[in-house]
Amino acid sequence: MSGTAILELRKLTRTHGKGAAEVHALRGVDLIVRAGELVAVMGPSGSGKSTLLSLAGGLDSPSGGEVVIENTPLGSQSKSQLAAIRRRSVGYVFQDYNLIPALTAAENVALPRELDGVSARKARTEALAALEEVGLQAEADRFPDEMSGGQQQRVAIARALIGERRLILTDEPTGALDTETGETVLRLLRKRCDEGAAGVLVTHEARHAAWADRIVFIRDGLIVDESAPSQRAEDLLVSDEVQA
Amino acid sequence: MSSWRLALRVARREAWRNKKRSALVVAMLALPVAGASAADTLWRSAQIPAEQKAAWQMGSYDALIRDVGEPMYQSPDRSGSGPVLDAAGHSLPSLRDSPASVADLRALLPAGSHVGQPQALFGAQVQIANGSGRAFGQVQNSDLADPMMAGTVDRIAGSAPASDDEVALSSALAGELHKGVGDTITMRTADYYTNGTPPPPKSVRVTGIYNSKLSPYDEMVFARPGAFATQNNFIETDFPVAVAGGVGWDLTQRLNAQGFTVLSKKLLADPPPRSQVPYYHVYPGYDGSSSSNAKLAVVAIALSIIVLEVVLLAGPAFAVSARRRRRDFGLLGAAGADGRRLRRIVLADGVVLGAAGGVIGAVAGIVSAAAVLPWFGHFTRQPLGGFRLEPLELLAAAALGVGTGLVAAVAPAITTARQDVLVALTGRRGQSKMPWKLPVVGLVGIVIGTALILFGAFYHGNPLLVAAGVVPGELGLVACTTVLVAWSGKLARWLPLTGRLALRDGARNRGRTAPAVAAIMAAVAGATTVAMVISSDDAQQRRYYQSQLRMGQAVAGLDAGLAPDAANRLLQQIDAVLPTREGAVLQGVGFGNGDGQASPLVPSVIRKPGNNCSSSGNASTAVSASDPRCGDDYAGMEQFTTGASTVVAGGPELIRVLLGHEDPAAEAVLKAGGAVVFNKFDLAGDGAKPTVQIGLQGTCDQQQQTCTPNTASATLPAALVGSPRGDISAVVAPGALDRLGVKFTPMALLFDTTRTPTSEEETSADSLVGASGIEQRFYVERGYQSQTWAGLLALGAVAGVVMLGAAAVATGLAITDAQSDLETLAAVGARPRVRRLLAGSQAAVTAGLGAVLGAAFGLLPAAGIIEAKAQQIASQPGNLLARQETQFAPPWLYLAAVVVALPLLAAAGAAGFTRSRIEMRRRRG
Repeated sequence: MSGTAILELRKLTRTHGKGAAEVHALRGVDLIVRAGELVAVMGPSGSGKSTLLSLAGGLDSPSGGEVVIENTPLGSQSKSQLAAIRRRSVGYVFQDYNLIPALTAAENVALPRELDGVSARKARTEALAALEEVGLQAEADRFPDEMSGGQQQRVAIARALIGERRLILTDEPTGALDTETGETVLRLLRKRCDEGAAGVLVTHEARHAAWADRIVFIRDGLIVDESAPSQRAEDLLVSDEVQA
Repeated sequence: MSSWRLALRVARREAWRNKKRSALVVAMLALPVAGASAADTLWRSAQIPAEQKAAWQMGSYDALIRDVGEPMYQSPDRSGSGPVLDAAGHSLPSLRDSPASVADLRALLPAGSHVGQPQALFGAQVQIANGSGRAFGQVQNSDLADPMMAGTVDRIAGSAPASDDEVALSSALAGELHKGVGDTITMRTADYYTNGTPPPPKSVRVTGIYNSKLSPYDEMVFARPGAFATQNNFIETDFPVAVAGGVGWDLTQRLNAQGFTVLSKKLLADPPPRSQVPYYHVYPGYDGSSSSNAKLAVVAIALSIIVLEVVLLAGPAFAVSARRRRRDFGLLGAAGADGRRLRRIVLADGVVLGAAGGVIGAVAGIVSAAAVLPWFGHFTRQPLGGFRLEPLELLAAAALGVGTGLVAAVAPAITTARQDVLVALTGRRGQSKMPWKLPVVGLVGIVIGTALILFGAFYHGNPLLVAAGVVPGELGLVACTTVLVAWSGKLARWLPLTGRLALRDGARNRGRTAPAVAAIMAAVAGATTVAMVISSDDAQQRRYYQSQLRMGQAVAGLDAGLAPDAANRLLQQIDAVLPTREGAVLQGVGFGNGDGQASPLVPSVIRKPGNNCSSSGNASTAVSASDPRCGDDYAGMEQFTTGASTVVAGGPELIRVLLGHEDPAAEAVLKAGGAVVFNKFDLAGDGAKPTVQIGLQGTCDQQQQTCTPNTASATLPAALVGSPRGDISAVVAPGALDRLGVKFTPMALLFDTTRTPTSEEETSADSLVGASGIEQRFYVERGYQSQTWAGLLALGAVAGVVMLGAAAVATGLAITDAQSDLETLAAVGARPRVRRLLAGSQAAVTAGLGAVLGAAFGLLPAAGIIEAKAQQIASQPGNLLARQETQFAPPWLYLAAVVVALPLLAAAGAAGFTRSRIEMRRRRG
């Protein structure tokens, strides 16, 4: 891939706890994700996948090494500057949706824009456009507990996509979804990367990793392998249809 | 029983696991317990046992016997007494023409009885020697050196006075005068004087500082009996007596029949049965039981309100705790626990935390009471019996904590018992259904309350009925709070993000929001009701404030009997220290000494038959209100008295001072020996030479039983000035009524000023008044002085404490609940201060909702009370206040503070005390 490096992780380490309770979640990870590229991160439970994602999004601070987003080292940023990066540059999708129950779908999607000072009316317009992209414009004024899991996850995707985000981080976005809905979600992610964003997809399912351009394997806090998917996702879909 | 043991064990462990939340709840539950324990301890400590009180009053003597001069009934403790009445209900004639002597009393007592020196207590004016000011105190005539009076006073310094030129002072008076042992002070007793001059001042030496055991904080002068002569026959004199075997009820009743009342140690320790006390039958309702019942009722109501507030504040904590443990309850349900057992577990939370609150509260209350006890006596100016605890009462107070905790846990317990096991296990939440039963009950309460308020206000004119309506109304509102909070969520769409989040979160989590809003609403509603009544009363008094004086005018009220020369001298002295334009002496007819002499001759204006008021003096009826001949009775503040008559005497200067300008016609009439009237209906003849007819009121004997009319009158040339002034009907020239035998005496010195005197000038004038031996204070008219600010401030403080406390509780719980939302906000780029903003918004929403609802619902009962009082006054014949238009004056400043400022303060406080950093929970993966 020759696109601009959007995300760079340089010798990234993260340690939790002290003494006997010390846990090395990451032990010197190097990773570059470029524009237009979707990278899948796979590994067993406890390998450090979610920690990697938290550090990449600036939600956590590394014990060593550096995180650079669009040539901006996060370590030199204040809390306010980090928050601004998350509002404007980084979209985050959690496994358990993490929608705010007291806000409607449109308000949840508009959240980063409203937090950035955009007027409620303008933010809503953008949110409706993002919801249309994920096929949920009709649900704009529903609350999360009035929607299915799949709809909620699509709302969360829309929130991660709103605005001109250059980096999308997703942590097991299809974990709680049925196959068809999961495929829809990944298709959205793929589309945004094809349009120029960089994406990181944490997953433990190979079929989902097949949507990526590159798969990195992480174990015990270290990247142990890296490869291109053996089969493209489209091919996997065709195989499934043939088998059916 | 075993399920209660399980429930208590679970509750104990859960409380220990969540120490911070448990500490908050325990603190809230301990609050009313601490208050009740402290109040009980202080009250018990303040009680003085009867035997101790008797010893403080009479030392080693057995009784104090008081000469009242006529046959009396009394209560055994002499707290109540009344004259024996004849068949017609009149008092019996006096038994003595002069006060009883020691010999008179000794003759009535058993042989061998000892009678000590008489004790008297009467008012006196103590003037500081340098004349720069004056202080007031009471003179206690008693023989401090009498060994049998030991124990009635505490000696602080020096020794007892040994001669009539020596006195001892109380600590309070010595401190006020800045005098000590060995100093000299000048004293003048407050007394009637009949020879035109006040009693002469007396210089005395201070030999000691003593405090009366019964009145340790009063300003007192201790003097030997007889050291200060007084002609005041109304001074109560007690004879201390020692009687073998004490003074029992039989001897007391014999003494009552001879015109004495008795305070006996023996009767205090062992009172007779009520059936043997004639006083209770002749004067029923005077035994003080109704007033103590009323006090108990007030205490019970206050305690109930405090408990209600604590239940509302503590309830959310139990609700949140129950919700957090929902999955645990689901597991218990899956293991076989039914609704009853689940309810028991939540109630056990209330029992455990309530018990902890009860114990801690009781201890805190006792310790607080012990700490403030020394100052309690100073504050209440009452002696104390000594630190005392009543274990049973304290136990009841501690039980209050358990009870409050139980009640606070009831609603969450019912909700938990009803939850679906599967829903609880899977963690699906959904929107809880709006409960309908409680709001319906609440609506019924509001309707009943409103009906009572309106009925009490407009149909029955009974403020008590209105107040009774407040209880169901307010409880009904509390019951409806859940619905009101839920509806408020619909307003969220117009708010900015954090406000929208806060309002919707509060509406969705009614279990923790509604009780806090209800607590604030109840407190604000009650405070607003009282504030509006106070404010309206104040507006009424301000609007109808009436003074005898114009703004800036001043008056020195003279004690009856001051000679004209002395009055004129004082006038000149005061004129020199004030910015006066002119001063004048106002002379009136005195009231008499009440010492058996006949009433003085009282002049009054005689109107022509057609000029009299139509309703025979009933000035408050609708007919008389429209009749211009009626309604000139003075109903305002009285800064000086004109004496027994509204006809006064004075020269032209008096007219100029009263009117504030010259009136040549009126002045000429006075110079010619005539009279000036202020009401045209007082003229007997008008036309070119108007006149006024002045007659004399009939006189009655001392018992007011036989009255004789007086037909004497005098017709004087008259002038009409100004408008009717109520307190003065006519000013006659001095000597104009001599032929009727009317005796005028200086009653007041009036001053017309060029500007309002300063307080220093007022003090200087007052010192001159005091130096002349006059007790009344010098007065400067400064207009209506509102006293409401202290009350409104206190009410605002009460509402503020509840509001800030409730908002803090609700916000603390909400922020804890909002952890996952906060993490989401952080993940999508919220600024670091969003946690604070959210906390501030939560507090503003809770406090604002409660304040707005409370203020709105507090105004109706207030309007009802004001209207009811007005109706009550209107139904009283002759009540001059009935003519006043009822004022409804919302306390705008208070409302602005409570509805706007306090919620903003709550928001600022919540934001300020909230940590801004959002702790991201570590996710494994």
